[in-house]
Formats: sequence, structure tokens, C-alpha cells
Amino acid sequence: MIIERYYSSLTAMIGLILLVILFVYIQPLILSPFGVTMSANQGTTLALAALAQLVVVLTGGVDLSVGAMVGLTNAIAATYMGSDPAISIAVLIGTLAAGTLAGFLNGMVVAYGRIQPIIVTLATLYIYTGIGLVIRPQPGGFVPNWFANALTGSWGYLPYALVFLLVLVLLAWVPLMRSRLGRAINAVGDNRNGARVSGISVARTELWAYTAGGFFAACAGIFLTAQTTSGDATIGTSYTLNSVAAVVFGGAMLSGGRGVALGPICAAYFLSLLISVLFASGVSPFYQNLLQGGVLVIVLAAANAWRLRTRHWLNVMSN
Amino acid sequence: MADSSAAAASNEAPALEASGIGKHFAGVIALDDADFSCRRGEVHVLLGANGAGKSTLVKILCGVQPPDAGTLRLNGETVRLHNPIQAAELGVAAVFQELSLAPHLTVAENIMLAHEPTGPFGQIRSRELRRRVIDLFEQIGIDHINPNTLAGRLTLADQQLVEIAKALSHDPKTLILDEGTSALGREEVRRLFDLIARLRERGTAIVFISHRMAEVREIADRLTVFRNGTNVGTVDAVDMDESHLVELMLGERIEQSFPDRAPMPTDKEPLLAVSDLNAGELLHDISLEIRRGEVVGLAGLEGQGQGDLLLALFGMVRRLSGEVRVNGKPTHLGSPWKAIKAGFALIPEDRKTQGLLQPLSLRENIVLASLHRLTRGGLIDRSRERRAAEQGMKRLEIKAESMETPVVTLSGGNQQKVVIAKWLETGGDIFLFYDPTRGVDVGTKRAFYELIGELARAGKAVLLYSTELSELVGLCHRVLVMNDRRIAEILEGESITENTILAASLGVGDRHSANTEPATDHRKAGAAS
Amino acid sequence: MNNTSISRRSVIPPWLLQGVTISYILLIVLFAIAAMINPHYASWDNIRNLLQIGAFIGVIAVGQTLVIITGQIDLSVPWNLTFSAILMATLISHGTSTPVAIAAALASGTLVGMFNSIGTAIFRIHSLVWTLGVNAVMQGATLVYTHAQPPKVDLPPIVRALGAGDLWGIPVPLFVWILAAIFALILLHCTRFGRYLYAIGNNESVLFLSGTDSRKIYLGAFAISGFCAALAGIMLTGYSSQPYLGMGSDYLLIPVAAVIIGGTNIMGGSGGYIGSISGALIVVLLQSVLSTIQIQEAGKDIVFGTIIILLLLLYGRQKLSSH
Repeated sequence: MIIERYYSSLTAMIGLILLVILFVYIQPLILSPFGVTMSANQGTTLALAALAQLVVVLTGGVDLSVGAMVGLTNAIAATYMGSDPAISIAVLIGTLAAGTLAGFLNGMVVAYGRIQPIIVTLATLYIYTGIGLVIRPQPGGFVPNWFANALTGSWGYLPYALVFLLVLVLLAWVPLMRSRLGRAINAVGDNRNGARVSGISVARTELWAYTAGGFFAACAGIFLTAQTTSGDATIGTSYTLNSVAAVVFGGAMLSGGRGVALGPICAAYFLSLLISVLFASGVSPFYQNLLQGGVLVIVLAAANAWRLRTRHWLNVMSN
Repeated sequence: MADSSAAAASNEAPALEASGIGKHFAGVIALDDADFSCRRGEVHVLLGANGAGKSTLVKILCGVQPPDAGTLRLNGETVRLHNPIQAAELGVAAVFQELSLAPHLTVAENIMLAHEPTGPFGQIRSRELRRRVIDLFEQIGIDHINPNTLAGRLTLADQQLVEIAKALSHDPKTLILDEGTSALGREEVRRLFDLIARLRERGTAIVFISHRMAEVREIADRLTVFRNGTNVGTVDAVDMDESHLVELMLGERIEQSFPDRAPMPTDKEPLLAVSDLNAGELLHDISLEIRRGEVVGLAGLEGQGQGDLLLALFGMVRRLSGEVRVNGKPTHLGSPWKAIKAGFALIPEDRKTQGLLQPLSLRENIVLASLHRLTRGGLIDRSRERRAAEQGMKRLEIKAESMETPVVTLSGGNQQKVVIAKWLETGGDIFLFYDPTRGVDVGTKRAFYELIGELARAGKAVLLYSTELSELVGLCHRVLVMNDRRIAEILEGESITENTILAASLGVGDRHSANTEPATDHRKAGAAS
Repeated sequence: MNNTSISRRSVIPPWLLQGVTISYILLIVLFAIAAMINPHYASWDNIRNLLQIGAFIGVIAVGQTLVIITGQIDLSVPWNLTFSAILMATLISHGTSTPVAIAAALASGTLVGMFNSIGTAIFRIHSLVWTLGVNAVMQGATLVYTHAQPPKVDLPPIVRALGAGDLWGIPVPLFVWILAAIFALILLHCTRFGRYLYAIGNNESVLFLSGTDSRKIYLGAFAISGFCAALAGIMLTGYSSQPYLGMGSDYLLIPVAAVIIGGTNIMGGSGGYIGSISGALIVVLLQSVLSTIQIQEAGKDIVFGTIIILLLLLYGRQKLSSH
């Protein structure tokens, strides 16, 4: 049964492993502590953004404002952190709260306004980007070194980034998913009406799912702050699209109900490392974009190629 | 079965009692001053046509929806139900026709959904959860379902069993089964009735909704009929008079269950001739013939390929081998549009999700399959379209405000008629019916039987897959019994009886198997067979 | 036995509550408010300008409306548009005749659209993801094709006219938009294809089981959307007299917003292009009003997003699933 559960993550896991092998082949230096750390740092923001997207996708929705929340929290952190550790920590907590609040807002409108998530989050995307721009009109800001090192440094071969991710997964994601709320999140996405007649409050479940999404987006923004040591309210746009790609590539279904964190996390690192691999292999930067997009398209098609062979037309219909 | 338990004569408060329940949705009155009560240790059957309010009542009784008026008493105490879990804790649990299972959660996770055992930090205790489910299965007597399988992998029948287990996991004092047997085959129904008998003995009150009179007869202690949202009568099973009950349900008398069968077809050449149809693991060596005006039935235990055969003939199955001839011409069936061109029409399994575009109007639905014939110069000819819709509505006597009414507002029977009207409009000749009366009430069934007769009289060929033996007996000229995805036996004329169909389904050579029910003949006495 | 019927709200007639109607009312109200604040707003000059800019969104919205009615979405517009524009410009700068270059651009856009439909109809990948991927591919293709240097080209008068020209005092883009709108309206309301679009948006299985190959309908819808993106790209090139790499960036979500504001349901099956017209105009109006009020860029975004949510709360809500 465990195997079944993680089966959907298989594509992403294998893809990541193959990519790493390819990377090592092209650029053996990547196996140094520096290389490992750099690679980890590249993908952690997206991995956290993917988690933010995943929790929403599990309920059957989608969150187009993930990138905007990442940018917003990045802007807040870089603007207010300053150099005093006490203040910095307070600001970080405040940043987490801000992101969580943004997610909560998404959840309120989706769950109680009963509007389709795709357009709600399309609208909040603009709102959160706007707020981020008000706070930080131009990229910049100040990020203390101790903070940047704490998240992006390493201890030998162990990148702090991975520790950060692991801590969040163990202390936030897993307890969430193992609770009744987590079970309800899966149930709502899987069979919405069924969840309702089983006694689950669909609205409440959605509300907390989107709130959790905001939380993880804030975590992504905080890591991004450490990584870029600056703030930029608009930096998040690519994270939305890539978080959706990571979630789908990682085996979750956009219709909801199925998915574990392992897949999207691996997919996030895969997508992030792809750029580095292309760069290291001497591929002209012009082709990088093309290959990134192309790989995504090919992988998606390959994962669904079985539909071409299915015997029953009706199997093809039901997504 | 006669109710001889003490509960019948005792003065103890009923397990469940609803009085004066009212409920309306968007101006439509679903329940109007409805009363209902069920005693401990009794099986109380709730009858009524579709739309009579049974499902709404059930949803109120188990906490899914609040009533607008009226009171609910459980074991004598007045309660106010907010949600199904609270209701279950107070002792009422229900199983619905629409599955509430999450396909990607395991059986165990589904059963304990929303009331999982948790630890100190709110973490679900998986091992404890599994243990409880295993215990539950043992109690109920389910030994063939693995609690760790994903619910979506189970057969429909097993899924329904899991639904029942889910309701029972709350150890309810009252169990409500709303069409709980519609997906079950005989074997499973037997198992379920054993379970119900055991529960009854333990003192559980059971409310049972079904349209299958045979089952109702076997299991009921008392019966209540609902019509137009209110209780029109309660009788003890011993005093049960079926025609009286039907009259209560419909508010009018109907003479017989089945209309006269259409005359035997006289053509020499068949309209449809199939030889050696094969579709991988779905169908093996199917050969059959149907003539104009003939009603041929498909029978057999569930899942023996009947549905797949219909789908295959309609072009929904790819990579078929074998020969299909319509009017003597060889036809290649690779897709629905080719099948329709050849004259096939499929009335699908689920008219709500496969047969009709619910929010769209009658007119749009009726012409949906014939638009290519109603266009001129690329544009839809509105007047021809309207005429087609009018014709369809008149021909089938579809009752609706106008052709613009959205189909979703029509009754089940009328919706079914719209589906058939759609196919009549295409000029199709071979009508394939996929279990059309499942979950359909008596009145609608009756109207439907007459329709089949009319189709046959109009010269159409009808292939009818039905899970109700009485229908096959009452409507068909011939019955093809399928087993193991082949045609196991062909029954004709006089030899079509429920016994013979059942025997052939089970593959029993002896026609008088001990397990069959007493033969029930619904045909009018003296009807020519 | 039929005791169900849809009740009518006694006070407000149902047609008034339709998204389309509300969007037009909103458009008028918005315009009135803007004109009150700044009388210059109601001048023909200004209106003309708004219509011209609205035309770009409106043309894209033709394709987007069709796609959304089927329940899908086309997020490949930005770079599909850009690639087509740059393709045309590059061909022209290499001496290809203008009609051929334009045809090539339109063909390219249409082909991309058809490729979009393959993902949706054959591989059954959610169009949200697939078209985003295609967008990224087209971005890559554009960069490769141009080596990140958009062509500097002397645009032939026709192209410039398409984007910035005037015909009897009316901007040419507006003419194009009107033609496109007529096409969309006829397609949606008078043809079989339009009927099938709504059918798929409601329930694809039913359409399929009624004998129509739904995959072909997807193909048509996405192809038209791709065509419209290319057409908009050509017009935009004429408008700014050069194609440039960021020319598509405004057109990812704005056309979608226009369609939704116009009352078409994002899940498909209902709505139409009439609403998209007012939706496009509202979007253009909003953006213009917000810049005249001189709120900083950030404020514009916040207001834009808030207004969308308010509108949706008004007429975009999902019905509670009924008994």
C-alpha cells in the first residue's frame, strides 16, 4: 500500500535521479560540497512553492497567486529585516503571518464566496503583487548575512536548505496531512459531495487548505530572500507556473484527491536543476528556455500516452 | 416476513420518529408535513415514485440537511441534527445511492472518514484505524475485501458494501439504506439481507428504500408510501397488497405491470447480424441477430459483458474483430459517429451524466445528435430545429412547459423520454438500452415499457440490457443470457421465465435450482406469450 | 409526478442578474464616473484610443472565449503572439512579400493552437498546464529564432495600418475587432460548432455519445484561439511599429479576466462573446482610469484584482450543489 501511495511520485523521482546522474557526468564538480549546496539552494524555493500549490490542488482547486505571495513575502522580508537579529526574527515571523493571511484570504473567497479558485487566485494575484509593489516598488532591500548563510550555507555536504525543507516537511506538512484535516483535504478533492455527506465541512477544509498554501508560500518567500539577499515583488511570477508544473509532474492530479509531497518536491528540484544542467552542458542560453518548456511538454505527454491505447472511449473522456 | 418481535407490540419509543417535516428548495416543496417512524428491530420499507420526497427525507433524517419545519425524535428524545457525524453519534446513519467514497483513499480510510481515531496531537492513528475496520468487517461478516485497497479499485457492488460498513462503523441504532441494493447482484443482495436480518435481531431499526418489489416483499416488516412529499399510508407487511401500494404511490390505478408484447417480427432477414465479435478481454465470440420489430433482451449476472456489448455495438470500444452487418451491409464500428450513421442508438447507463446536457433545453437536447441534418449553409435552421423538437415532444408525450425548459427540471421519466426522442430524431433503427430502469419508480417504468412496445411496433430493433428479470420476461421476444463475456444461452418465447434466465445466468443445467426464488409471473393472466 | 420547476425571483428579473447584463451596466457606470472626474474622458479622441487598445484584447478574447466555453483555458497567448509577430517581421526584413509574411504568422499561430488541442483532447492533460508549457516552449522558440535580438524592420504600410491606421476616422484595429466579433457571435449562436462548444463545456461524454467527435471541436476552438493570438500580434506590431520581446506579457491573464468579467463561466458551458466585448472594454477602461487617477502602478493592480473579486461575488458564484 505504501508503494501504491508513492507510485505517482515515481516519474518525478526517476527524472530527478537521471538528471542528477547526467549533471554529475557533465560537471563532476557538482559533487563537491559547494556544488551540492548550490543545487539545493536553486530548487528549495520552488519546492516550497510546490507544496503551497499541492495542498490547494489536493482539494481540487488551483492557486495562481502562489508566485505573488512568494514575491510579497520576499518584499516584506527584504524591506523590514534590518540588521538587528531580534527585529529580523520578528519580521520573519510577521512575514510568515502575512503569507498565511494572504492564503487565508484566498480561502475565504473560494470557500465562502463560492467562486472558482482559478479566477479568485487570478484576482488575488494582482492584489498581492500590488501590495508587494507598494512595500517595495523597486527591487532591493537589505538582508543580513547571518540570515542568508543560515539558510543557504552548508555543513560539509549537508546544505542548510535541505534541512530547512526537511524541518518544514516534518513539522508542518506531515502533521497537517496526517491529521483529520489532511484526510479531509484529500477527501474533498477526491469526491466533494461524498465528503460532504460524510460529515466533512467542505468550506472549512478548503479555507484551511488555502491558508496552509499561504504559509508554505511564505516559507518559499523567506528562503528566496536568503537566496537572493534582496526583495523583488514581481520575482514570483515564474513560481506560480512552475509550481503547477511541479505538482502535475510530481504525480498529483489537478482534479484533486491524489498526491503526496515527495513527487512535487522532486519535480521542483528537477525543474530547477534543469537550467543548471543545460548551462553546464554548454547549451546556448537561448535554447534553455526552449528545452525547459519542451521537457515539460514531453514528460506530460509521455505520462498520458497510455490513453492512446485504451480500449474504451469512455476511459479517455473521464479526466 | 411476519413481524413477531416484541418491539411491534411494545410501547417503547420508536427508534426514529419524524413529525411534520417540511422542506423546500428554491420554491419547490419537497416535503410537506411529512411523518415517518421506525421501530427498533424492524425493517421499514419506504416506497414512492421518484420525486416523492424519499431522498430528501433521508437526507434530513441523517443530518445532511436541516428541515424547514417539523421535529425529529431519536429514541424518544427530540434532537436537532447539524451534520452527518453528529447524527451518527446520536444513532442514525445512512447509505445513499450516490457513492460517498473517495476513490483514492483506502477502504479503511473511507470507512473511518471524519471520525478517525486520533492521538494527542491530532494525528490519525493508522494502525488503530485499520484494526477497528478489521473488527468491523468481522462483525458484519465481510471477509473478501482488503481494508488496504484503494476504494476506487473495488467493484461497484463491493463499494456499496463498504458504504454500508461505513454507516455501520458508527454502530447506529437506526440504519437507512437509500437504494442501497441497486448496484448489487443477487449474491450480494443475499449477503446484505443476511446482514440486515442480523441487525434486526440486535434491535437496529432499518429504513429501506427500494424500487425492487421482489426484495421489498422479502425483507419488509412494515411499509410506508410517500407521494408528493407526504406520507400517504403505512401498512404491515402481512397486509401488503402490491397493487394497492402502487396505487398509493401513483395516486391512480394501473391495471397491469406489462403492456401487451409487440407481435413477433415477421421479417426473414435480420436488421442486425453480428458474427464472431471479439474485443480482447471484453467480449468473446459474440454472434447474434435481431430483426425489425424484435425486442431482444440481454441477461446474466452483473459484469458478464452485457454493457460492453452494447458499448461495442455503439462504437465505443476500439479494436473490435468480427463482422457486423446492418441490413446486410457490412459495417465498421470504430466510433460512435460511425455507429450512428449505421443506425444505432444508445440509451446510456446514466441518463443524467451520459444521456442529457442537464442545463440545456429540451430542444437543444433533442436535436443534439441530428444537427448535421438541420443545418443549411453552415448555419442551424431554427425553424426546422423547432419542428423537430415539437415532433419529438409530441411523439413521446413529454410533459414540460415548453421546449425551452431546461431538461434538469424534468422528472426522471420525462428525461428518459427526451433521450429516446433524441435518438428517434436521428432516424436510428437499432435501439440499445443500457439498464434503463435502474433506480426508476413504478410509474415511470410502466411508461417506459409502453415505449419499448411502440418502438418495436414502429419496426425498430431493440436490444435491451436489464438487471430486472421481470422486465426481460415481460418485454422480450428473445433473451440472450451472457456469461463470462460470451452468449451462454438463448431463450425464446415460452421458455423465457425468471427461473430459466436465472439458471442460464448461473450456468446451471438443471432448470429447477433450489436457490431460485418462486417464479413470479407479472404478465397479465391469459396474455399470449 | 413532475413537481419541480425553476422558481423565479419575484423582485428582480433573472435576465438582469446575468453576468453579461451586469458587465454592460458596469461598463456604463464606470465610464460615467470617469467622465465626471475628467470631462476630457468623454471626448471622441479618448474613446477612440480606448477602443483601439481594447481591440487587441478583444481579438484575443474571441479565441479565449471559445476555449473557455469548452471548459479549458489558453495560456499560451503571450509567446504565441510574440513568435508570430517576430516571424512576420523577420520574413519581411528578409524580403518576403507582405501577404505571405502575414499568412505565415497567422499559420504559425494556428498551428500552435492546434498543438494546444492535442494536449487537451488526446493526452487529456489539463489545458492550464499544457498551454503554460506551450507558452514556455514558444518563449524558447522565440529566443532561439531571434537570438534574443528582435528584428529591426521597416514595417510595410499595411501592417502599420492594421495596428495604428485609420479608416474614415475609425481606427483599423477597431474594424478588425468588429469583424472578429461578428465572426464569434455567428459562430457561437448560429452554427453547429458553437452548439458543440457549449455541449463540451457542459458534459463532453454526452456530446461524444451523441455522435460528435469532441476532439475535433477542441481542435477548432484552440486553433481559432491561436489564430487570434497571431492576429493580435500582427496588429500590436503595427501599433508599436516594431515587435519586441515583451510584447505579449500583458496578454496572459488580462484576456481571461475580460472573458470572465463578461459573464462567461470559467468552468465552461455558458456565456458568450457579447459579454467578452464589455469585459475587454471594462479592463481597458479600468486600466486607463487608474492611470489618470495617478495611483502608482501597485495601486492599479490592487484595485484591478479587488474589482474582479467583487464582480465575481456578484455574479460568479457557484450554486450550492442541490439535493
